[in-house]
Amino acid sequence: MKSILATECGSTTTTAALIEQTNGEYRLRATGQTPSTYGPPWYDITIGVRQAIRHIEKSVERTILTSGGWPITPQNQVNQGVDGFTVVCSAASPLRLLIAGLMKDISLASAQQAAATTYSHITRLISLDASDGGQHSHEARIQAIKENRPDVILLVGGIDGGAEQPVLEMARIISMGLQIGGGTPPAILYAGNNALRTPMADILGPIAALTSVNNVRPTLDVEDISAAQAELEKLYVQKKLMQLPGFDKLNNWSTKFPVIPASRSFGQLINFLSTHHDLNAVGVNIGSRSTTIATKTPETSAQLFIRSDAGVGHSLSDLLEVVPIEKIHRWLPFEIGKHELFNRLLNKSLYPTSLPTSVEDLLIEHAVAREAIRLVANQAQPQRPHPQWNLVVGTGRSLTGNPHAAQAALLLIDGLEPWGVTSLALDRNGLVDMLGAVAVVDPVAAVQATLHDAFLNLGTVIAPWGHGLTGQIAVRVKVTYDNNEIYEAEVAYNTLELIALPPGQKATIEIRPRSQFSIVPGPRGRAAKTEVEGGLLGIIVDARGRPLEFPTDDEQRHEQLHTWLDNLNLLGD
Amino acid sequence: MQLPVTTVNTNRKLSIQRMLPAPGEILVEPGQTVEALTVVARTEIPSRYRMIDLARQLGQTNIDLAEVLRVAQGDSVAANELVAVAKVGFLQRSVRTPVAGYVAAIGPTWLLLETERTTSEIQAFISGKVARILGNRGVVIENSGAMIEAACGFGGEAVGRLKRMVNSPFEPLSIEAINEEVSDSIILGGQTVDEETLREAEKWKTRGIIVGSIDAALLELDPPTKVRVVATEGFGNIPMSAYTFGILTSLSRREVSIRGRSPHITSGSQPADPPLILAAAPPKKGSYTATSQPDKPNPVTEGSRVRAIQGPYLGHSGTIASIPTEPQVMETGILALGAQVKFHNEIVFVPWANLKQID
Repeated sequence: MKSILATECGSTTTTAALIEQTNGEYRLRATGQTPSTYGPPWYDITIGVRQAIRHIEKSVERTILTSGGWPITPQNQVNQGVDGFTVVCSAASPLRLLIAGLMKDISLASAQQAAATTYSHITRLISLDASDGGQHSHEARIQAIKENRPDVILLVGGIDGGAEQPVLEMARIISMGLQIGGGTPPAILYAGNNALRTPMADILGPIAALTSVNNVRPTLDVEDISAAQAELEKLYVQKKLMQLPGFDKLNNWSTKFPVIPASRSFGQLINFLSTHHDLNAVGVNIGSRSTTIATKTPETSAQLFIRSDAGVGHSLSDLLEVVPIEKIHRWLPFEIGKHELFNRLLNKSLYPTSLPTSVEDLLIEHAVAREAIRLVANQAQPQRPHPQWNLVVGTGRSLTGNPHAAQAALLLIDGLEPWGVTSLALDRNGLVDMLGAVAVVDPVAAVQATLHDAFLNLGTVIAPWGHGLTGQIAVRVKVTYDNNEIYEAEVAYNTLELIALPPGQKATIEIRPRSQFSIVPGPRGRAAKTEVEGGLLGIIVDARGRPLEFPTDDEQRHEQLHTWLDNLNLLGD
Repeated sequence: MQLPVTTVNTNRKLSIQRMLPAPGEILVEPGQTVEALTVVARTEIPSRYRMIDLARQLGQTNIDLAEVLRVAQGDSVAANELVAVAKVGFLQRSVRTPVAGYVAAIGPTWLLLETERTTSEIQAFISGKVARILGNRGVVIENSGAMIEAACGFGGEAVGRLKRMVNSPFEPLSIEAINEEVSDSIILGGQTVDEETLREAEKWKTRGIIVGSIDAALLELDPPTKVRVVATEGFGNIPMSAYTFGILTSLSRREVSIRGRSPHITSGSQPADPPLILAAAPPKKGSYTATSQPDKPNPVTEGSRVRAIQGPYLGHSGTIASIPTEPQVMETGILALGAQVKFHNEIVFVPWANLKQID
């Protein structure tokens, strides 16, 4: 292929990117961005796509669209059109999911894990072991199913060859609830005891579209959510993506490669980065409707964690229901009542595509972004201390739309709290979500665009795990540059320090944490030595400790936050 | 540049869909003239159920329903009525209903009784003409009149005569303004309303209040108030737009219909009807004529009326003075395309993302 046009339809922004072969290599040639147009007053997602492509046409001075407004494929002899056209999408509202199962900590936990890998919102959890917090009579459960009106019911329970009657009982409850509910029944996905597929079909098949997949818990100790994951994604595409106004037209444009959820493409990219560079990689995508974290290490399989109640725009009001306002408030370095803050955030949720106009509003949006990342990170890295990441990649307007790179870096650091030595990279061209889909079309194009054009290298974070005393030296860092110049820093606890190391340069760093801190797994106080590459911010020594702590006194907290911002030169005019 | 639109207009076609929560009975006919409080449809919704475990009561795990059942789905049953009989060896076992009700559903070994129903009625909400019947689920009422799309609210729907109880859009509705004059009316407040004033209005049986903004705490009042509240601009302490206040003032003493909702603040739920203020044209002899409206809004140009949805001018209406071709740097350092907008006597830059066009 000579050229590929990749597009992403997000809930607020539509981006198009032209990747072309130049001098034997695939490079990003141009991008275009417009507000997404699936909502009022346009009600047609293709309008935004077309506008974004027209920006590219103007930029590269060649025709990509037909006179009718759709991409010319393949590229013709007069250099019009493109050879490949891909679309990823995250614009639709999440799948409303009711999960029913036997036991909260076993089958239901695995079902929730499966649900977390696609854009879904769990509207109700029903467990036969009465741990769901709801009313437990059959009548109450039937009523709940009737009133809930989910898009999909995910039914789990029983290991293979294990419990049967309780799972069948749950199926009967669902059957009753749907019979009296009226209207179009939801799709049902059965992912429990494999032996019950036939009786499930007998009970549920007559009243709803039933699909049975492999048990999410075939044994007590084994979790296998891949089949449930794949089916839920299929249902998201069918029930949500395909209902977006104009989606059918968009799908027709992309005949060879169907439109896929942006999360899948994003996960594929993180997977590639980890495998290609043999490192522990994590990607963070903060969106208006959801926040996604994708992880992959050489020892573990790729994992995806999506929370559709952790978006910073369209689902901000959902985020406010699960994150106490105090947690957002603690990040603000200025006086504001929690009440007023809550009102301001609700106003943002009324107009999710609006931009912050004052520094205060920007800092409030940053605080929300941090807590959105932390909410998902708790699922992605529940262990304490959590795994060490070699590479953190960030995307989404909350990160990429900031005027200063250090703002994005700080959001990623505060959200994920990476410790040890971690490289930070930012999606500079809005490509990251699209590259996984490009890889399906042409893997080489995706690889080369990823390596050359996708990322802005922000730099390296050095962060010890542990706590100390404010003012005390927490860590000593010795930087030996390529030209053998040496720079040494002693960084006090509860501060950050920037050490210059421009892009394209390398340096060897020796890190000596104080005895109560760890920089590598194992006994505290152990030193480490490694080579790092330069970035826009160079080296960020984050000696604030892990996990991050905040003073309870507001004045002290404001002072501390001001210090942190000042350390990164973010206290401007 | 095409912007999302917000309607603040005195002369619009009003076309309102009124839907029952479940299939029911439509009580009006196409072409019929209705008042806002006319009940146009009615249904009964089951509100309580009782499960009867046939297998357990008959002492059999496998049941041939065709053999044992004595009722069918939809049947009305009295208390202690026989619903199933089976022979178990030499014995005959029977199952009787514990209470009266309807047979809602029948499963392989269970029977579900509906034991209570609630009647649900919907009113027309605006005066006008029944334009269409939507099967056994609802109707469409049409008229012409004023429409103001609001930002948020709570309490649901109310209809009443509009009474202005403040002198400016910057004035909060005070408890001193609440007296017998506001009974059965919809109050045009100004900037905002507090809980104390709301409770006082409830005592005087006010049906609804329209203000510029509401504190989010009012969404969680305990006990909840019966007064419906609509905020035209948003949450917090934001004055009503002078433009909107002017339009609402011109509607004083007219019958208005309000819908107080904050549909975006319902976790993952299906979209609900947005908050709204309507004032249908008064009834005339003969037919109603509905004003037609443009299918698509026109792109904004100099002179277009717009509303700020973020920033220091949140809620204010203004006109586009000029449209810079280059993006402008805002206080945050963010570059954005937008317009120079005239608000009162000031011209300020507002990014497109923070504007809505006023229809």
